[in-house]
Amino acid sequence: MVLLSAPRWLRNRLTDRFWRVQEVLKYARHFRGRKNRCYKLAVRSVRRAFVKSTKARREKKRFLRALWITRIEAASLEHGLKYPAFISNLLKSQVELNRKMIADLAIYEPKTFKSLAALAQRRRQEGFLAALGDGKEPEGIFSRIVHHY
Amino acid sequence: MVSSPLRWPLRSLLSSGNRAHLTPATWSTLTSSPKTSSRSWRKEMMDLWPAGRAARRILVRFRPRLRASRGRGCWQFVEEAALDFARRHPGVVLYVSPRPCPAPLLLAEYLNGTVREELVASKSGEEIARLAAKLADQSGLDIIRIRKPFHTANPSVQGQWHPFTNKPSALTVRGPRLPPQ
Repeated sequence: MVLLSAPRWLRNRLTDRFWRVQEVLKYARHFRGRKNRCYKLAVRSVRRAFVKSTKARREKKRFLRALWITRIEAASLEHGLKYPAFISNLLKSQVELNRKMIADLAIYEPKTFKSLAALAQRRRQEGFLAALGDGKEPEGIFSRIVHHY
Repeated sequence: MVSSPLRWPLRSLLSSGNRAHLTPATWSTLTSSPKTSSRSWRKEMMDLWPAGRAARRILVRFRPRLRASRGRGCWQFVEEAALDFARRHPGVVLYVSPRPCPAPLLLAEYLNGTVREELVASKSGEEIARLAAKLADQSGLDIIRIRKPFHTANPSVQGQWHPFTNKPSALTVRGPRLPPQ
């Protein structure tokens, strides 16, 4: 009986501990302080980091849209238009570009953006004439709607 | 020793301890007469790969020291599926090296320098064949999250915006030098 129990005590030893610890620490290496070295602190930090990154995916979309809107606003103010006027008149002229593309055009294709701003401005003027005019002027050119069906 | 070259089993070739370089060229030398000169074999190599070097390399390293059961799938793969694999992927060089090693491995080296290892202990021959096919179809790019599915070297055609793009050119352009008065 005594001979059987000694090997039984030693049989189930954890030999993988180093690699199990490294699996967690590899995600904490760029953290600040002791939580990039000490396993007990790192486990908590890594778990919170993963949870935050999961939740932040929803907010990334909002954040990026706000960034694009800021950029479009800055670019259209250079051309003398405010953002709401620019976007609404662009939509009324059936130019269905999303904010991401308009922001990229404003950065990389400034002449195209200038022509878009001119289009929006012209549509705006036509809208004012249609609303405030007496009905004697002809209808605006850019106010015409193209039906694709 | 009377044995026709067609019946040379792969095991005997491998038991000599050399690395068997399995390509369609080598396979043809196995089946052709034993008097095939090395020069014609090299010429065959050059015809198949005019670039002069192997496109991609897959190394099957097996015969583990400890337990034969872990290397059983490897033996199955080498005896049954390796030649078909070599024929189906002509751009991939398959090396089979049966030397004592702690664990049987499939080692894949790619053109861009990445080396990928897959442990094949306790896997059947078919699973190893499937793994080898997967490694042969891959390029050597890292398997990480792709940040953007697009990339361009020339993002701007009209010239990227800078603070003086939409300002009057009197601010940037220096006029001609006026004659001294």
